[in-house]
Parts: sequence; structure tokens; C-alpha cells
Amino acid sequence: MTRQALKYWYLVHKWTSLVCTLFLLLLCLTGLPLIFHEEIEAIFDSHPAPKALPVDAPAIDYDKVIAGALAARPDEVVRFVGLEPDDAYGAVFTGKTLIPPPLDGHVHLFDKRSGELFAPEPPETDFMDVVLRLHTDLFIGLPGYLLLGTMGLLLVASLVSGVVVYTPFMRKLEFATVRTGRSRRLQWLDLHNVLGMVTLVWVMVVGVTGVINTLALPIVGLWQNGQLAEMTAPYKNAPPLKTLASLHGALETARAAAPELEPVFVAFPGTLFSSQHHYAVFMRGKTPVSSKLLKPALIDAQTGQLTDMRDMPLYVRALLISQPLHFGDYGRLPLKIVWAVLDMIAIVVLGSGVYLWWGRRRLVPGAEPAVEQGTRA
Amino acid sequence: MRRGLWMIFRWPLLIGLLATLGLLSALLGDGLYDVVSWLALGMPLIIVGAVRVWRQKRLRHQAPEAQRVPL
Repeated sequence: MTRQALKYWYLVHKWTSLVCTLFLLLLCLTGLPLIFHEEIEAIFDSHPAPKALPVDAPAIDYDKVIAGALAARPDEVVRFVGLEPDDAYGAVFTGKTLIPPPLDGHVHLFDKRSGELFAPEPPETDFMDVVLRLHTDLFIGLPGYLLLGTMGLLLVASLVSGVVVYTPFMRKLEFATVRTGRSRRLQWLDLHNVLGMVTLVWVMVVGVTGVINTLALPIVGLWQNGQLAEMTAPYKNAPPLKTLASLHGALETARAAAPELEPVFVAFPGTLFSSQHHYAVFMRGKTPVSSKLLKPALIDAQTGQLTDMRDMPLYVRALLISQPLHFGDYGRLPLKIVWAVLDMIAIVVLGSGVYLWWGRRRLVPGAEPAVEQGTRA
Repeated sequence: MRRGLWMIFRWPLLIGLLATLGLLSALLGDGLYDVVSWLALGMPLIIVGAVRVWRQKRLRHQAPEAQRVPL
């Protein structure tokens, strides 16, 4: 590579990094507690541990659960029911309208085996919610998502250019050499290089899957206007529903239609994740890969019949698969710990990058920086 | 000696391949697959860190004025 080309690569590395560094520091710092959000939430969870039940305890009636939730909040309607298979508790989500603003309404937790309901709670904003919003949308919704997504793209450019400018440094150095005793700057340069290289693939994967996650809202919108609209098209001109068929029956129908899957959540008719006339029962598999994917079964909310069930399109599956790869929550606690260590190393790489840039600015004030002389070791 | 691309990138390449294996393994299976993920992603960090500490210690003993500490 010519000296000139290298200089351009260096400029790409410098500017892409400089623009996104502050945001990435924020993402790394907020991401650290988010890796362990399940563990942290379990500590502060005020709900009692589920009671032991005999194995032959009767299956609960979900219609009674719904009726109980509505009795507790008579002025609200049911929007969603969460049935996360890994949790002992399910949740009924109610709101004043079917499509309320984000923080309007109540959550009614219930024991999935006894059917016992807890008192409804307004969605609270605790510390972890604040951290999550800082990590995802900076409290400004879609523009925040897209801004952070752009920062993720800059990170990818910074990583690629970083590998290119790494090459000339290492012409005379063994991998992972850290030259101590010459100058603090040289030592940090070597550390920046080795730590950047050791975490490269992980940072790249977490970065790219993070960018895909920032597109969650447009992706869901695309699905609603695409596959979901197609699946519910025959009902386009159907008269509005007068009464709702049994949720319990709808769940039974969905389970019978796909016995290898289990329901994760149900969107009630009229919500954004269903049509005006269907229960949308979102199912997932039990194998490591299929448990990351969702398959919606649409149940006619008048007759209780299954009307359609399809695999989600590729772009939704890409989003669903990219989520565990970003969160690190798919290999139990030790994987989360590895995730946290890699995250902290990434913070060191970011910090040392700023230090190197700042130090050089002070060394040659106002001068156009030449490519670092790494070969003269 | 001017090192070629292979010499420069053989270790980063190995670590990168291990990381790829580690990222995918727990996604594709449970149990042993999870353990493979922990090791493939975690071991390079531990090894690079440990070898660095070890070399530094040894060099401090043998040659206090050493200017370069490989690894």
C-alpha cells in the first residue's frame, strides 16, 4: 500500500472513531448493566417466588385470568397477554384504549400454573428503564434509534480502517507486543492495537447486530404492512367484532396447529400486532435456534378458528436472530460474564483511542498528522 | 525483518476464528455448546493477559532496562 493510501485510511479511522466515540462510550457503559438485567431485576423483584404446585395441578383457565384482570381495571381493555415459557409468571397488559401511548395502562402479573393474579401495576420507570432508553433511543424515539444506528455504522468503518492501519505498525513487531519504558504514548498505542485486535470480531458482531436492532421499529412496520396485512386481507371489510371468543380456546387451537411450538404472547384484536378480527398468537420453538424465532398463528376472534399461520419473513427473522447476538443472553451466566469483560476491554480501546488522538494533537499543534511511525521499533 | 501479512495476522486470525466459533456455538446448541462458547470467547483474553503478565515479570528479573516486552 502506498504511503498516500495509508494516510487516507488513517484519516478514515480517525474521523469515524472521533464522531462515534462518545456515543460508543455511552453504549458500552449502559450496556454493562443491561447484560445482567435479568439478574438485576430478579434482585429487586418484589413478587414472591412462585409456590410449589403438585404435578397434577389442573391447567388454568386463561379466560378467568382475563376476567380477573378486567375486574381489577374495569375501565380498561386487554391489549396483550405475555406467556414467556421460561418465566413462572405471565402478564396481562391492559390500557384505556387498544393503541395507547407507550406508558399508559397496567400490567397484571399472574401465576401461570395456579392462575392467581397479582394487583395491577402501572408500568414503572426504574433505573434499568432509564439505562435501557439511554442505550436504545436516548429518550427521543425513532430519531434516537437511527442516530445510534448511524454511530454503529461508523464503528464498522472504524474497525475496518483500524485493521488496515494496524498492518504497518506490526511489520517489525510480534503480535501483542507492548513496548514499555519508552513512552507512555507508545505503550498505550500498543495496548490499543492488541486489545482492539483481540476484541475485533466480537465488537464487529455486537456492532452490526446493534445496528439491525435500531431498525426494529421500521422492520415491525414493514411486517405489519406486508405479511400481517396479507394474512388478514380476507377480513378487510368484515363488520366490527361484537363479542370476543375464548382466549383459552384460541390458545388451544394454536397449540394444536403447531404442537412443536409454544405460545409466547397474544396480541388482542385491534392492537398493532394483530387485525381488527384476530387473536394473533405468537409461537416459538423449543430448540436452541427455533426458540429465537416467532411464528404468528391468527385465530378468528369471533369463531375461534385458525385462519392463517406463517413463518415470519427473512427480515424479521434477521432481527430476531440478531437480538441474542447483541444481548449475549443465549449461553447462561458465564457467557454474560465474557460479554461484560469484552465490553470493558472495548471501553479501554475507546479511551486509549481518544488519548492517542489527544496526545498527538498536543505533540504537533495544528500540524497535519503524518502516519504513525510504528515500523521504527 | 519485515513481516508479511501472514505473520502479522496469524494470531489475530486465530483469535477471530475462535470468537466466531464462540459467538455461534451457544446459539446453535445448549449444554456443551454453551461451554464451547465460553472457552472460545474467553480463553484468548485470559491467555493474552496471562502471557503478558508472565513475560513482564520475567523480563523485569532478567533485564531491568528492557525496552521491549513481547506479549
